[in-house]
Amino acid sequence: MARNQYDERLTTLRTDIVLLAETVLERYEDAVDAMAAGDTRRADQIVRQDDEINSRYLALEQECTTLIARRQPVASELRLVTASFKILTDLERIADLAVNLAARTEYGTAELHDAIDIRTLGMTAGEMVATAVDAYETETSDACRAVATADNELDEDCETANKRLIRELIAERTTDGRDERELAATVDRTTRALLTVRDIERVGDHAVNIAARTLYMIDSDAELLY
Amino acid sequence: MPRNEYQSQLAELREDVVAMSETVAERLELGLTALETNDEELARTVIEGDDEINQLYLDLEQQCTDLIALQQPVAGDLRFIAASFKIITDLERIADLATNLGAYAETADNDVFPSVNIQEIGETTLMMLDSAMAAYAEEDRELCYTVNDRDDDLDEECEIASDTVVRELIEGEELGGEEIEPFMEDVSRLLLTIRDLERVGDHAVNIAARALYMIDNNDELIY
Repeated sequence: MARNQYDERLTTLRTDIVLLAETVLERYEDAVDAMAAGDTRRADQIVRQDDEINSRYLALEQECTTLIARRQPVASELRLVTASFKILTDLERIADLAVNLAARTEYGTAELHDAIDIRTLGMTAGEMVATAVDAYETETSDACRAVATADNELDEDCETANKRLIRELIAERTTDGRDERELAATVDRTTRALLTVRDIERVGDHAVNIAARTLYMIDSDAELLY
Repeated sequence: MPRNEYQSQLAELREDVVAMSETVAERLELGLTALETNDEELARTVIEGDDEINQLYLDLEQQCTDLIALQQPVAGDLRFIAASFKIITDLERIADLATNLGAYAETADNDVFPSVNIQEIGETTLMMLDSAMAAYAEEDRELCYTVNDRDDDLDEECEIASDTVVRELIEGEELGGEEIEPFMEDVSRLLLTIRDLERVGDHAVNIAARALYMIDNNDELIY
């Protein structure tokens, strides 16, 4: 493969990954929206669209390995391709988590749980993904570190949300005359809320992975990688 | 480089990845034991041991990219190296989760609800990891599916555990003012433990899915 042709393919790879990231992020934000609004029709659509993301994901992965194998890339090129290879996995997982949220909306009611604000939590994690992908596209190391910092806050917010859910249950203890059906409904509602918080927290983790890989790509700096 | 040297490099990569997985499994077991026994020293050992795994991980990653760049492997070999490259990420993440268990053992009493059997869930994850790595090492496609099926059981075990926690929370006795905060800490650590073990299972499935893709070019389990 000629030099300029190779450069072109590297540029295309990066652009394609950013485009995939945009689709994934759109799906995820849609899923958060659908969940917060109890919009099951939109949620169903998100579940059905996952195949498209999966096939784009594998095709791009193939391109990464081809680019490494076809020509011995120099250090910085190799770091770009390996970073891309790893980042793809995180994007695909974020799409899976969007599907999780959507699937949980399917049998949901309008409000998931009034003790927590799913939209704010969810959108915070989404912004982290956007920042991380932007850092990858523009090779900005500061933005990578910003994502890691934001994740500490997100983790705290998620823990606060969890504790609020737990506290509500403890408060229930004092309620008299609770029937078994009501109890089951409370258990179900709380479990779904806990799972949703967990999924959002995971989206944040994937944003950090993307940022960590990007920082490693830019500066050969493994600081955020673990 | 002569062909046979290339072959032995491939074999070495496989052995090194398997060796890494054994170290990771050991850490996971220690993390579980630290939880069970509330052994803070053991917990610290697990936490401090993570640096070693991280280094191992980056070294193996280098080994993978060197092999791809220098040998320009095709088809099956390329899939094997790419699979190894992905699998080590999952192993590194499992080690991180083992570290989490160590941290929980250090800070909380994990026996708040004896009816939740963390050790049993932990056993399931260890078995899944073991099967997934055997599938990779021996190119055993059946085992890939076994791991995937097992994950459904694990998810169910975890769901039952979470439900139990939630129910115990509602049905327990009323707490005095100063009892609430430490209790909350313990409960939220317990929920995090369940979540982390479920994640270990997910990583085992990722490994199995990659192994199947490597063996048969079959992407069925990848998503």
